[in-house]
Amino acid sequence: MIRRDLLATLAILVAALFVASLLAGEVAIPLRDLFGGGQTAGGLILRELRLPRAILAVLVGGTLGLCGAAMQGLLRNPLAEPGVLGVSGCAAVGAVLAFYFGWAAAFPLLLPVGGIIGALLAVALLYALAGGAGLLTLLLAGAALNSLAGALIALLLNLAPSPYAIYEVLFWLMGSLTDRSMAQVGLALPGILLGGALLLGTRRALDALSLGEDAARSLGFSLGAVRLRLVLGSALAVGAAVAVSGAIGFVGLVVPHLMRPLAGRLPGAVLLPSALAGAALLLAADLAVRLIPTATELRLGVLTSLIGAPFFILLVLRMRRQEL
Amino acid sequence: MHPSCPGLSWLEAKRAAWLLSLALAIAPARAAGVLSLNLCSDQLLLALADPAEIVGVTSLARDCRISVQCDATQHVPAVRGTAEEVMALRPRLVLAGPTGATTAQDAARRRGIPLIKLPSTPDLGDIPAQVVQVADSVGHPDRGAALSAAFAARLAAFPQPGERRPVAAIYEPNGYSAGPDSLTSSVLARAGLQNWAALHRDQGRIPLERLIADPPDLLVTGEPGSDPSLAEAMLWHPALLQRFAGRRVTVPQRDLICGTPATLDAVEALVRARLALPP
Repeated sequence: MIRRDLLATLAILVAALFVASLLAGEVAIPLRDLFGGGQTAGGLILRELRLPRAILAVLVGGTLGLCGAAMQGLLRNPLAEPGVLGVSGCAAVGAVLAFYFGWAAAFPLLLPVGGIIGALLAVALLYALAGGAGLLTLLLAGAALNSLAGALIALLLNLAPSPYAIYEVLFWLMGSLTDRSMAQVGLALPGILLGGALLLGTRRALDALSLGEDAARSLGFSLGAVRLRLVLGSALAVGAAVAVSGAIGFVGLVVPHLMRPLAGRLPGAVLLPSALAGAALLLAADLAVRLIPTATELRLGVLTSLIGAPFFILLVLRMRRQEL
Repeated sequence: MHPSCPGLSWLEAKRAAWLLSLALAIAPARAAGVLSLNLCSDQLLLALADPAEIVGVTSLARDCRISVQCDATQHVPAVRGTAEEVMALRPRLVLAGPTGATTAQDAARRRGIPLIKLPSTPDLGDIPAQVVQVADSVGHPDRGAALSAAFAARLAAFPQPGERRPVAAIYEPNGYSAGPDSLTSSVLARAGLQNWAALHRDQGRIPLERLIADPPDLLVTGEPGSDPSLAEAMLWHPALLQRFAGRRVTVPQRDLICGTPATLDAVEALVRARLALPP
């Protein structure tokens, strides 16, 4: 019952923030114009600017929250997250390659495909490097992947033919949902839905895995198949999300920890609440970057990192205390 | 690395050798020519001097998106605008712009090489004087006089602005728009248009939402680039395409970045767009 209440509360929160996201923007527009439809300024702004932005916040935030929870469950590591482990960064490398060198202009679907391939390579490499190993190995592997991704993004943007490319490094490293359109929603949707479904399908297996690998096997779960689903699912979802929004950090780290006290300790039970809470967090952050009066709009990742990085430090402190 | 030259890598050494050979190749024939350190001075120099009289222009001048003289750079070396290049090329004159390449300018001053800093041209009327200044300094006053006379004649031939002065917004990559005291604003005024950004006392980055909520009569953007970037992609956002269908004109960026004779091409395109606007 608690779980159903939690999901309902989170769903209402997401819906409320979604509506707020449609109402807020750079210009104040009367409700009547906004929902008047047609080719009026208000209708255009709602349909072509604010709606895709709100939808993407839900999709991308949901992806990051879900993947954070799934990776923490799979790797049995409380600090695992697409951003911290470099999966988002590598997805951005793939998307940058597809976007700036003209492939995505010819075949738009190559943009999310580039992101997915980048994310897949990262997850596979992480698992190979640090699959059964300890916390430290995994975080070091993530730090290495993150540095490599940052360097590759800068290199590719330097080599890109467009003179504007190099100034767009901030978008890919920090992320933004400004001036996105329905076209990007359409590009990200298939990967996010497919990846999300794969991840949500591992709920029971993750719960079993938390009892240990032997217990999971005795309960009839094939570990190899579960791992493959998790690796593929997070790569599909994160790759497609990052390809249209850039790498937005720390959402996947913070959200599962917030949900665990509410949803219970079982990793599988945290998945769906984390997806909803991730969507709510990103919607709220995207509202904040629009409402905070700065000369140029703040990058979304700046805000999530300001929330997430101190949280990260807090988690490290808590783990230290437990070790002592 | 050789102990006697600390800090000089093989690449730097190779580069220095290349510059030296370049300098030596030019030096024996005659006194070295003119070096330009700024995209705007590049274009005037290329228009007024012979290729043999130029020892270098910036590599930006080769980019046809931002340079009207890109074709003329084929037989002219490209430089990055560093102090090292000033030292190695030994130009007889250095042309610089209002900003940038400060270290290279210092190097020219220290070596006693004449340096002309061309100011920016925030008004169309400033362009002929600058053409004459560059032409005189490179030794072709006749070409300067002819070019500036042609410029003045063409400028005067545009129709005078009418009673109705439609509002136009120039929307640049990343959503930037030029304010009142800019060449862009001067071009709009001569074409009989009011500058949206100046009317709204709004310069710098203009959000898409604001442009759609309070639209100008005419939207002016650069040509769609062949090389993708987020900065240019926003100019083709579906919301803008729908809002300004039939009320949008493209003007090549190279015509507006620097004040050159080609800037009048932008005036011409905008006059045509104004006359084509529905009443």
